[in-house]
Amino acid sequence: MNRIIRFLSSLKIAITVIVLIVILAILATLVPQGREPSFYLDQFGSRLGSAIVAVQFNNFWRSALFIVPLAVFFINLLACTLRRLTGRLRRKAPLRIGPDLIHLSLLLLIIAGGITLFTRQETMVFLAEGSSFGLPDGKTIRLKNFDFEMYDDGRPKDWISRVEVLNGKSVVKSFDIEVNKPLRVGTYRIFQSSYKNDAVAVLEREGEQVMIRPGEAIPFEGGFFGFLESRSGPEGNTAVFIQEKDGKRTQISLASGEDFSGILLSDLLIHSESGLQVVTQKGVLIIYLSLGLLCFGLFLSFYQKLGDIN
Amino acid sequence: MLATIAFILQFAALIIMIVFLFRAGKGNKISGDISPYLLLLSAVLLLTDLVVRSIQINFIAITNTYESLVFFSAVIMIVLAAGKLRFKDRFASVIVFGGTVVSLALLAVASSPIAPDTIRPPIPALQSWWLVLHVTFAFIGEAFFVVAFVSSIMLLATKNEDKRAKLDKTTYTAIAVGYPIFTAGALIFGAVWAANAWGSFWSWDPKETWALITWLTYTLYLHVRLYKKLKGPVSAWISIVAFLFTLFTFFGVNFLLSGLHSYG
Repeated sequence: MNRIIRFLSSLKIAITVIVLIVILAILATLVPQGREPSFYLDQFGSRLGSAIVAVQFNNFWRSALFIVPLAVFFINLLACTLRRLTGRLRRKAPLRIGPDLIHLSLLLLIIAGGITLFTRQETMVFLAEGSSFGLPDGKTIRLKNFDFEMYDDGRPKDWISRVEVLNGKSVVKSFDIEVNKPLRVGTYRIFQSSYKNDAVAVLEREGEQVMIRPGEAIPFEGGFFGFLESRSGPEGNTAVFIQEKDGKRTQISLASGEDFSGILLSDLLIHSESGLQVVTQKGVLIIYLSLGLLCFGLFLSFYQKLGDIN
Repeated sequence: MLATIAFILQFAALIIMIVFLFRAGKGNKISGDISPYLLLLSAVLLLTDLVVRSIQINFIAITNTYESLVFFSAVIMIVLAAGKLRFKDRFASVIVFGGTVVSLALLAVASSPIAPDTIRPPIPALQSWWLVLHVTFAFIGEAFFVVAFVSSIMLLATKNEDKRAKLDKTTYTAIAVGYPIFTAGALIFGAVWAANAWGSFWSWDPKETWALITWLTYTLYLHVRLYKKLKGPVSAWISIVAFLFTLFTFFGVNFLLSGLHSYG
């Protein structure tokens, strides 16, 4: 048994597997991850592209190429930790447990990472003010109000989703979800993730009114006049249109009440929806525990190292 | 303006160091050198610059490339000045000299168009105290890696075994102190921030992956040294490569690879 542990805890294995993971990780950052197989064939040519897809280098962090070295690293670390701790206890050597705690926390972290990987479920929900969605545990989240605050230069300052958590018809909690301030409901965490605007441009031409959404167009002087997108800025909302005439395209930006060549933008209706990410996963507590243990182990190592220097 | 004065002070300190390095004989104690005080003064100015910006944006000013570079340079200055005041020998002077060159290079980048110094309050994702801890601890750790980088180059440049042993010890000490701080900042606080902002501790974003690569390379350094025969030149090369990875994580990923960290 001791011989097996001595072999598995070998420093040579540790060094080899660390070098291997470093090299593979570098290569993985050079290959875009998670794209369609055709992307790799186009980008890297048929031979290399096929090889990337065949060995799952396009999904490296979930592939055997990463999982196997990580498993070897885990076994090596486990054996090393057992060997160090038992050896220390047997010899009744003075405690210098900083590195041991670091090793132990990394083992826990790998286990917790695996648990979250296999148990994580996430959904993206877009809610308009007044609408709601149900969680699998029976509770309901209702969006009372969605605020999008901007700085003077037009960059986002804050997105705030003011929500109520309902159990049946009774409100059990009111909460303002912001980026970096998720809502926790049972095992679910709800994050402010994004937003989208559903815009409608109300156009008037020769007394006739027509409503179009982004991507739609009306005929115009032998070409078309299309609604590209709406934009929000400190001066208010504007609609961006594309006019095509004689094969030439021109981009035009209009605010409500402005007109272009006889087409009046009489109104721009923007209806914002808050994008909430709902996440549930097991193992989070173990991750926090292992990060805390890692911090403590690092602190002990640091403290002992300072003692050595002094 | 404050960063420019800090740059001039560091440059002046560099000139003084050159003069003293030429004047001092081998192994002689160097006295009357005011360069560490100039370095400290430059750190104070750089930190003052950040305090002024923090007041203006109503948040800790460490949320873009310019502010990160200024903070990094300030911490390097403090570490180098403290080292020079404590170890007043020729070795310390040469290491401080090399570290100051690195810091000046960082400030030069801070004054270039790739790191605009426009004062802008942070976007929602960056408004987190975990981010502040993440960035500051990572750079404090990396300031020690600068010392290790310079001493590793010096180790490779000399054939004298006594000098090599001393430089090897300096490299190891700097990494042993910087490693826990870097780990706490770059990996632990970064993961907690990500969990609060995006609901995931780790996303294998290119910058996260390169931070992990850097950390693994320093981990490799610490373990390789357990083999006596690998102490010295081999471990010095690993320290140099690890520091180059640190720089790539900071600069290279921002400009060459895209991801969640494209803002800083």
